[in-house]
Amino acid sequence: MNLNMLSIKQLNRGFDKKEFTPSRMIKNNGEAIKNHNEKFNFYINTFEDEALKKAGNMPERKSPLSGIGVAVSDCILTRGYKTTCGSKMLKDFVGPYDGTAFLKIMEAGSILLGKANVAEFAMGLDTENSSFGRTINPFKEDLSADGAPVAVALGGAVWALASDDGGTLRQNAASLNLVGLKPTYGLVSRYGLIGSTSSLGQIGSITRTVEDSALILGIIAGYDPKDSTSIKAPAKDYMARIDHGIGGLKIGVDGDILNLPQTGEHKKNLEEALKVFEDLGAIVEYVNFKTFEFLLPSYLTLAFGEAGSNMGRYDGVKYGYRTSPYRDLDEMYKKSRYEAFGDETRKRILLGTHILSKEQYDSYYLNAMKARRLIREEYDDMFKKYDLIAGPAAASKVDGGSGYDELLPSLAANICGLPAITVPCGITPSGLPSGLQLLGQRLSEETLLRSARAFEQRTPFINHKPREVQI
Amino acid sequence: MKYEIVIGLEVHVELKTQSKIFCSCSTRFGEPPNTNCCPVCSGMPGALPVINKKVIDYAIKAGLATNCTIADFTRMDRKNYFYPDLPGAYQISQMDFPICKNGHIDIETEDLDKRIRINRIHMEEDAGKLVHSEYSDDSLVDYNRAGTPLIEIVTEPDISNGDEAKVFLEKLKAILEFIEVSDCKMQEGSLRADVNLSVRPAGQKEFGIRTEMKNLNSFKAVTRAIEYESKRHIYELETGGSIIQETRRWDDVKGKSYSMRTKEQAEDYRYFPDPNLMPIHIDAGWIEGIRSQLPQLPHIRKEKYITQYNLPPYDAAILTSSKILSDFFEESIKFSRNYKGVSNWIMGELLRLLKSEDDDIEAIPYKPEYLGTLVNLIDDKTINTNIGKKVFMESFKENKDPALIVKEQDLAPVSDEGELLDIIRKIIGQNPGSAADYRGGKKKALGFLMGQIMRETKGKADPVFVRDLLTGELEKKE
Repeated sequence: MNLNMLSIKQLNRGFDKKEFTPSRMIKNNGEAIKNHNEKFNFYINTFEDEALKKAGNMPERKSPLSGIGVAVSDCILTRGYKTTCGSKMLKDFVGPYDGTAFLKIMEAGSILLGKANVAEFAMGLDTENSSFGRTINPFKEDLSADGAPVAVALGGAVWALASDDGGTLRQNAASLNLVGLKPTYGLVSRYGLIGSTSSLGQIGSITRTVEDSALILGIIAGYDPKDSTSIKAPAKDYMARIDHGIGGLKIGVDGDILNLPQTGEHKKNLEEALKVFEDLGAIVEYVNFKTFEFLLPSYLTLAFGEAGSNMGRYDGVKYGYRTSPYRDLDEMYKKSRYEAFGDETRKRILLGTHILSKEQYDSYYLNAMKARRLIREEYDDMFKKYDLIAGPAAASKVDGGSGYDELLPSLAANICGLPAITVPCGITPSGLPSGLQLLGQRLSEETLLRSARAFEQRTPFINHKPREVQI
Repeated sequence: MKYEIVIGLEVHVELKTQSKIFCSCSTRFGEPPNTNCCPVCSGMPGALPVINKKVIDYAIKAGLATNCTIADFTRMDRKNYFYPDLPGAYQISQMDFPICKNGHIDIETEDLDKRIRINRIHMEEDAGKLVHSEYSDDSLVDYNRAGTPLIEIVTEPDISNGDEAKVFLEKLKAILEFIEVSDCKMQEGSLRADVNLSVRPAGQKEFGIRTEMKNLNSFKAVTRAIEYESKRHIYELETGGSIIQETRRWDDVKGKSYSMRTKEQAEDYRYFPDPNLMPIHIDAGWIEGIRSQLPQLPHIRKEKYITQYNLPPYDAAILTSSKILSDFFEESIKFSRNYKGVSNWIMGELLRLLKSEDDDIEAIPYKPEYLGTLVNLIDDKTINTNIGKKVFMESFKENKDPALIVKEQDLAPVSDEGELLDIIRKIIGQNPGSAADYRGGKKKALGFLMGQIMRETKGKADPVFVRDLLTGELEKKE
């Protein structure tokens, strides 16, 4: 058994039985970083030495996360450590405060191993446009991936705290054969989450098993007075009913998403997975959404519009990159932002500015808000008939189309603020892992978790690891 | 050609809450630069705004006090533009759904009574401050003020001249001070007024092109700017020129307005609802809760003082010019029925003692009951007016009951006729020359004798009574 591939639960059992110590695990993580980070480029900044010291000094274990090494996506603020958000603009930025979710996992005893590579300002599913280079997917090296799940897949951390603005967390968890959970909008505080959007993203977890994500959710979920969009929901024990299975649940399968050219390579694995659900006692039916055609245009409009405004604060005045030399204020603004932002970021800012302009506002942003309402209403109706909506978690880039079509499997969750989980469901002929995504009504994480766990326990897929870590 | 001047005002008022509008930083004025800041009000990555409920309460209060309708649904919108004093590159303000609408303030000028309608009141955050370095070309940014809560009050173009504008602003200031939402100090920037002005030929329905003027730092500057700008508009139109729609900066020293913006198009602020803040629902219960806490407004009190207490309008105006003064008056008259007397003492001696320290009255460190007592002591002739003044000074300084002072210092008047006659005769005896002068026709000699007598009685005699007795004595002998 490769200790470096153990889940949080397994590690805790090992600590309890004194089979190994947190220090030993952190040392393993450090070795994985040393062996793999240079090639795969999953961490922008690492803190192995400090982590090792901390692991050696552990007083008592306050929670299941104590003494366990975590990767934190570099779009989440960590006081005292650099937070770059994948951009030259924040290359050396050390924030003066902690994001709430990060603070919670640290108070629970987590050990920070590194800040993981992200698309610049989280604008993208992969790291093609990160200022720090692309992170390579060890399962398929011609593909780039988000840094956090690669860190977990290669043993550079046991789990990761990451963000999902338009599916990055889920799609990448799927492509790295891991479990990814995006909670209901407002369940986890967004205070300290740097991103370009506001109404669409949430912080979630990337783990090796479903149980691990239940453990983490219990710690990071909860009302935060610093976040006005934070929900005042009662605390839940997400582990309590996690083995209750999926029997009797009604699952709707999004036919439009399943039949996209972008999800073609995963289709067979998905169909097999749905058969497993039926074996487990779930009722599976195919459905179509009338609002399917609104998903991408409304998402892009809202996301780019919000980005155009949210990105304004990176102006070279207060922190971050400032150009030199410059003649006046106007030149300082223009040159700093031009030099420090990559192509995709600049494009989205320009589009976002256009979208919010007086002449265009009604046609774009206002209509997108209306479309969003219609999508939400249709999903609300669908959830009266079905407990879960299933589909492929990830999609690939295919020639033609809008250039953003691969976002489609993910978008409903972001647009409607719904929780979604992805769990490994097979490998494609090209070696790329497939993920099965389950989408639930708001605050139905318990249902998602027990369904995903039932599937996980019935299938062998979670044991599939990258070549680099196989023994 | 006769022209009509059409003016609307946009008034920004700083609310005197303890914390800023979207974070818990202090709003305290005058702190070292960038010490009252946090990630939220300094535009740090990942920081989020949380609205301060007191700000909403104060905005509702201001709306109720100006006869507005309070919205049941209101929300915050972003106004996007770049400037170094705006840390997030957007100001959180309100566009589509302001918290208050359709109010009014009635004003009285020398010429007429008029209703100035209020189009809207909305909440927004203030920007920071730019300070230009003395030693270099650099500008320095201080974010202490960023995030201070403001309400913006926008009138309809109902104002016709500088005097009306001044009266409106004075009345607005009095109302806002009375309901204690702001200290409205224009010189300190807690009240700022922008003037929107256009002219049109008398009788024309369409509005002329308007200009906006900023940097008006006093009510006088507002009237001067209106005077200048209306003349400038008229001059342009009469000489075949045209007015450019633009924002202009008023220079009070030079007495002129200067064009500020070079581009002719208005800037597009790309307003959209702030996605980090939830919309606000205001129900009747919330509004009534605030309405029940509203103090009686200045113009209502002024009416009451004139009709119920029979005070002249001049007195009523001064007493209601400040809530503290007005409250003090109303408390004092619980202890004395002599409303005019109390009013006189407040307007005279009290204000004199208070204003020696400060311009605006912050507080009156004196018990209203004591003033009532003092007026009564004089009215029932326990002491005379002169002694009264001395007693008041001491009573105010020590915040002590004047009745106690009178008792302790034996300041009761000498009113016994016999006692007085003794003193009078003694003084006449000591000053035969003056007595003779008086009898010889020099009426002025009375004054000297009066002085001597009053000194002898340590001022405790009633001068009118003494005068009677003295003249009686002088004219008697012979």
